[in-house]
Amino acid sequence: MKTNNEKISLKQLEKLIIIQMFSNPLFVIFTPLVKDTNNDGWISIILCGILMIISSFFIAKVCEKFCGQSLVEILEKIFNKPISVIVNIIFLIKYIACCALGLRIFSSVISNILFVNTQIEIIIVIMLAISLLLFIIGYEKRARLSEIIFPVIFIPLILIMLTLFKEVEFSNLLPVFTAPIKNILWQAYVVICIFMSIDTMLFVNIYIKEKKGIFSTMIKAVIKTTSLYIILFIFMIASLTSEEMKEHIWPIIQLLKYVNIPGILIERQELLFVIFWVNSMFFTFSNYIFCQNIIIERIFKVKRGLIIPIILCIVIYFTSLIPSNISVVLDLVNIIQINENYIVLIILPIIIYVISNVKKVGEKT
Amino acid sequence: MKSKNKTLIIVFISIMILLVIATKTHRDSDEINNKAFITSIGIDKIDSEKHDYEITNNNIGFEPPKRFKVTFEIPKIKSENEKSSGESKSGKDNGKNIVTVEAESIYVAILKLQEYIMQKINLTHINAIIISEEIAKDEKMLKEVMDFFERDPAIPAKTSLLVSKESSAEEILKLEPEEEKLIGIYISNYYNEISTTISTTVNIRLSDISETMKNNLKTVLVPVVTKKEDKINILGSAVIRKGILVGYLDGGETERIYSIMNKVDRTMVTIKYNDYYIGEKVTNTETKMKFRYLDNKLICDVNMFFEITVLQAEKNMDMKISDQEKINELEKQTEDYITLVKNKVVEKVQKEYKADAIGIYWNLKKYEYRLWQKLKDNWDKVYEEATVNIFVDVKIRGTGLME
Repeated sequence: MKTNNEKISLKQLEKLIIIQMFSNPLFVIFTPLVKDTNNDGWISIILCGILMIISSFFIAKVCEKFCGQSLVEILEKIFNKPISVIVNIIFLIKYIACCALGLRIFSSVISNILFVNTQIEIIIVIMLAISLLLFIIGYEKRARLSEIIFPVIFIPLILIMLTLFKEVEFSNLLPVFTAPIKNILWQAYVVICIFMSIDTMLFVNIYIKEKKGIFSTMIKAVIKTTSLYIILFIFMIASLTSEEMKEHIWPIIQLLKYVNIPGILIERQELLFVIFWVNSMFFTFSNYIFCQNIIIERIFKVKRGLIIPIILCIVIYFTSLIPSNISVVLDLVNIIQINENYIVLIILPIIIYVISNVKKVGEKT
Repeated sequence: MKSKNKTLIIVFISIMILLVIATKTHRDSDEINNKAFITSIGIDKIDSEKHDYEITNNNIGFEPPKRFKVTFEIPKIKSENEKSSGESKSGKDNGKNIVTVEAESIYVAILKLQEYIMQKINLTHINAIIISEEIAKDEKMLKEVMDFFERDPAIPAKTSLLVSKESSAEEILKLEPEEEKLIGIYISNYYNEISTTISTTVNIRLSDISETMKNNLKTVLVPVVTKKEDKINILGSAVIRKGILVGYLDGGETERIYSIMNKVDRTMVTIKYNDYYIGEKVTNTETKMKFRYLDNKLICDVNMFFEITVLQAEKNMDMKISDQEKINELEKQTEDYITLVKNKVVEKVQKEYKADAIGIYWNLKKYEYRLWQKLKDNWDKVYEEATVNIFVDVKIRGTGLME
């Protein structure tokens, strides 16, 4: 394993963040969003985007202050080792759960639309193996790979959206401003799961080359991701209507069924999108494996190797098979979304930033 | 790479292989020869005295009654020799297999079909689903059928749905039109090519009707297919309201409803003007609905705008259509005619079928949300008593190459 060249540039960081955010939430957020807000879900996504820009400010400042250090060292410096160990173990559990639930959602979608007769276990194992491969090649190579993959994922997505223009009826977006403000605000908080992987910045900080400019990079990534989700939401409402969206577990699959690219030889064209989406999933899972590895390495002072990630993969594999069905998975995702994300994404960065300033720990930014 | 890491990779790969073996192996790889592609499905109702049954201690092992007669159209895949000779080994070949299965549900019918044809069934190429009139009139069965097709991810959302009138779905699928023997392909071609020039029937996607199954306020018009002297005839529509068939509209009525809903690209109007028959092509239509609520009564003003080109008139008629005065007269006469026929069909669906076929509820909800909130609890009564006024504005944009 090559370890001496593992620093990434800010451009690579931006692409990595966007790819990671365009994965699991794509299949999870839309149905509950529409159930609560009808046609006004786009307002919740915008509000959530604004909230994340504020959160990004604190995360970026912490990253700049503690350049080249992970959350393990940061918390050790600000508080003490026991607190650092407890908080990081909570993060470890969260990442294992996110990875396992994400894999379960991923395998369910794939086994529903792509490999109908294949057991989800096979899909999970293969997915973990490829994610582990991305871990083995190292963070910098993974970042370089993201630069190649980025246009491969998003250019076809834009083209697919353009082909849907014929099918959509934008008047379906009416009436607007009908959902109760309470519901819009609640969903703005719930859809924060789009940006769930942003907290991994506190760990992958060790790989970032530049000290300055992290905030602007994160803002760009958040704005681009928010715009992407708003466009998808608008297309879904315009094509399916909010009433129909409420009935589907994966409304995006239903939307993609209407894709009709003229002159193309492929029969089931919606699968094109799924193929590109799968690429983004590898990056999300490997990112989680990286973070879990960093936590274990730094807490237990273990040398970098393959034993830890392999054990983690096995743990993730069995954890992903615990939920009895997809409804249980979605409930668990909901629990994580509601109870944990705001602590990790908003409260923790603010606490670290404020206390480090009070205690005058870390570099000046 | 260090030798330690190599060992670890080998260990990891071994673990993964073991996990794969421990679970079942990949089963999605199939040879095309082993697949049976279904191009259309016909669903008829089997009359059974008691459809509802309960499993109790006394009737464990009781076989549920067969309620559906499902007919599958499966194209025969010909070998190269057969293709060149045009005939199969068994003689004259119509290029398809028609298999009918009786079962308690659509899925069980597919399983039974599997036993019969010994090939792996592939539903991704279904072009048309034909449901019989009896199924369409049975709310429960229609909802069951639609739910199955919506739930299965393999079935394309663009599959056409049709109601067979006066003949069973099985009889329709057994027809062999000269143009195309496969009914599924025939219907698909019909909607892709022919229906762009006529508007007496409009293609309905599975998703359009599935929404009607859940939403009691929405009405949908499903194309009607009939058997006419061994020929297939797609004309008119069945009115599905609250998940049940409530009546039929003929080709002309269907066209009028769809033009009110802005869903028709082009259509023809023939009017009698000073003893001359004049054929006009409608090139552009635009509809806007406005709502008022007066004296506890909903008033819906439907403002329609038509752009028309004169396509046909009597050659030696003693007047020139290019004359502005004549054009104004012709426009007025066309407006009167269109208003009359539209009013008739709207009255028919509103009063006779009590169906909101022109989407009044949908427009009210979109554009007058507050009024909709006020009326939605009592919508059926409000709609029944509502006044629908149709205002037509016609502009003749051209008269072809002749005066």
